[in-house]
Amino acid sequence: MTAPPIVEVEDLKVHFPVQTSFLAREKPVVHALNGVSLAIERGDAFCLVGESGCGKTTLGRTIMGLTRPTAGDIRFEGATISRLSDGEMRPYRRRMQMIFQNPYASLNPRLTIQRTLEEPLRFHRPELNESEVKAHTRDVMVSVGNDPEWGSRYPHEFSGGQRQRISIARALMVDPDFIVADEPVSALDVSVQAQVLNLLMQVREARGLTYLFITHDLSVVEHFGTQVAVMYLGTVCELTTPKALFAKPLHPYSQLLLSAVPKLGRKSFKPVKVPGEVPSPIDLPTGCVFHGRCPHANQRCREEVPALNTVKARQVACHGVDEGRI
Amino acid sequence: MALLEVRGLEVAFPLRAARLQALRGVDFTLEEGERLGIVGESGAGKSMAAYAILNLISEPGRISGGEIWFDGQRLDTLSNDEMRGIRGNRIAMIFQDPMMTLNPVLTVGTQMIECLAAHRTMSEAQAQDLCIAKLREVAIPSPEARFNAYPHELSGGLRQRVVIAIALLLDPAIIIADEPTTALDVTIQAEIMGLMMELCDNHRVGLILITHDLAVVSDVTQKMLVMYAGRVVETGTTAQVIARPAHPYTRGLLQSLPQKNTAGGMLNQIPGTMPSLAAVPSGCAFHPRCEHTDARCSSELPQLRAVGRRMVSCHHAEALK
Repeated sequence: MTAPPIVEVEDLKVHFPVQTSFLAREKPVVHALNGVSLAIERGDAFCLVGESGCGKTTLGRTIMGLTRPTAGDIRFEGATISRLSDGEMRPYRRRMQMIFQNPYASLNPRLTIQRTLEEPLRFHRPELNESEVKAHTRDVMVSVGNDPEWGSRYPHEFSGGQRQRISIARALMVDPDFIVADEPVSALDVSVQAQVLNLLMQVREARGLTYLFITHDLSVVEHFGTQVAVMYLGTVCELTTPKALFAKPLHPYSQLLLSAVPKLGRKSFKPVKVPGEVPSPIDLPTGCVFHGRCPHANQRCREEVPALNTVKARQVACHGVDEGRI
Repeated sequence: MALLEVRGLEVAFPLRAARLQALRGVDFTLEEGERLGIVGESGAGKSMAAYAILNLISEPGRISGGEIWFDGQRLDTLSNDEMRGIRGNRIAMIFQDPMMTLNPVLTVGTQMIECLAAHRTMSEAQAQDLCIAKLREVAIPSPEARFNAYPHELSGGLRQRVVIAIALLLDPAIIIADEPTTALDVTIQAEIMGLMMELCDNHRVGLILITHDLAVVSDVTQKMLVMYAGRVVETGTTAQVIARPAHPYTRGLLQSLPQKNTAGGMLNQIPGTMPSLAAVPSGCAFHPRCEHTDARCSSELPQLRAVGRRMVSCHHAEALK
């Protein structure tokens, strides 16, 4: 029997209520995730891509247990974790850590770097004594290429790239197996972005980590990912390897997204024309969520929600691809 | 003479503790209808260079040296009142976040007419027709209805289109766009960039595009300027600079971009970070991060000079070619 995937998500739905007058009969909801299923294997750098509002951050937060799912299951190494109490969740929290986008907001400005790094360790491993905590902090700082002397300083003394390296060190303090990185390099300059991406790759190899990497930057996916899921309006439209996706995107939305990415040094630039805009996640379109903007949409697309089916060694949710029209 | 010519531009912030030099001698030109990209990382001075053209530098910063010539007129010595005749009228500006640019309590129409009234005399009906025509030109669906809409009723992409329509309202000769699509999604970015290129071509409007995204510059502009620590390190046609960067910094930037052929491997990284303005290194400001540094680099400031068909400020540019 093969080991279960490190993280598995099945038919996950997350709906947020919209604030309305309490007399209102109808309670509208934002459909942030509408039935997402995926499996992340150990050692993957699993990338989630999509535009603002597609649900990629909500998916990351829900897997981490920071948002309660409305329906569906999340399993960690085969054990369901989506309905655990806070206390029951605690051992899993040690094994799952998160790195956030903005290193200016995710480090407490009043704590020294040493205190920031020690905090998760003291919480999850209270058995360690003072000198063990200090030694471990030092080891982790060195392993991510930070000067251990930084410990006595405060976050404002560091640049964005250094702060993100400290955030990575904090995530590694409790020896996690799985890290959700939500746009970890989006706030950084190009030359610093390369430093942080290299570090993430090095620690993945050295520690056998698994990443869920949330990003809107497709070139980072191509460089970094081993699997990629393209999301649109709370659903996964295509799930495959970055190589296959960039060679030939099958879903019409993936095609649109890829054609819109600016590229270095191409001869002529033909801007894409996209009909319409992303619909509101409050009143979801019927059928395929992309049908209103899809050049290949037909009656079936407008009525029936497409399932994520396996086509040519990848998963695509599109009637047109299933029928061989696209 | 070029439509816009910037020579030896210096901008300084005299503070109590120190005098910060944000721009340390910047030269560039823009011809009619030309699209110029200014790239660099945070703190390189790319926005400062553009803001200086319109004298929009916030206190206590001021232009401390150099000249700015636009259409035969010297801009850096103009009074604020005289400058007002240029701003928005002959040279328009588009900012990064359209929600911050537009006034949330006024309708799109009110803001457009306000801008027209400041520079032209025309009847209310004429003004309204002109505004709706501009909204149609930037491909806003049902422009008559949007004319009476408030900014919050529009999506991010539509808001940036409204901002572009306002910029075009007075038929400017130059549009300065400071990270116009950084806050937008990539599909919307592609549409807005396509629209701006089309409009600039149709009206022979010059574009100065300020961005940190080298791929956008490569797609949109004809000429580019790479800035580092308040100086231009390399300039030339965009195709040339991207294909064969001559300055070690440009080369490092381009090589540090994740791409298809880097998949799974390590990215080339530039060690260190951009220096703070309070402590710009002596000589070439890039020398502490450069792998080709020698004694001359740390003592002598390299001037921007022609190397092949481009301008580079590096002592070793010929040797590195």
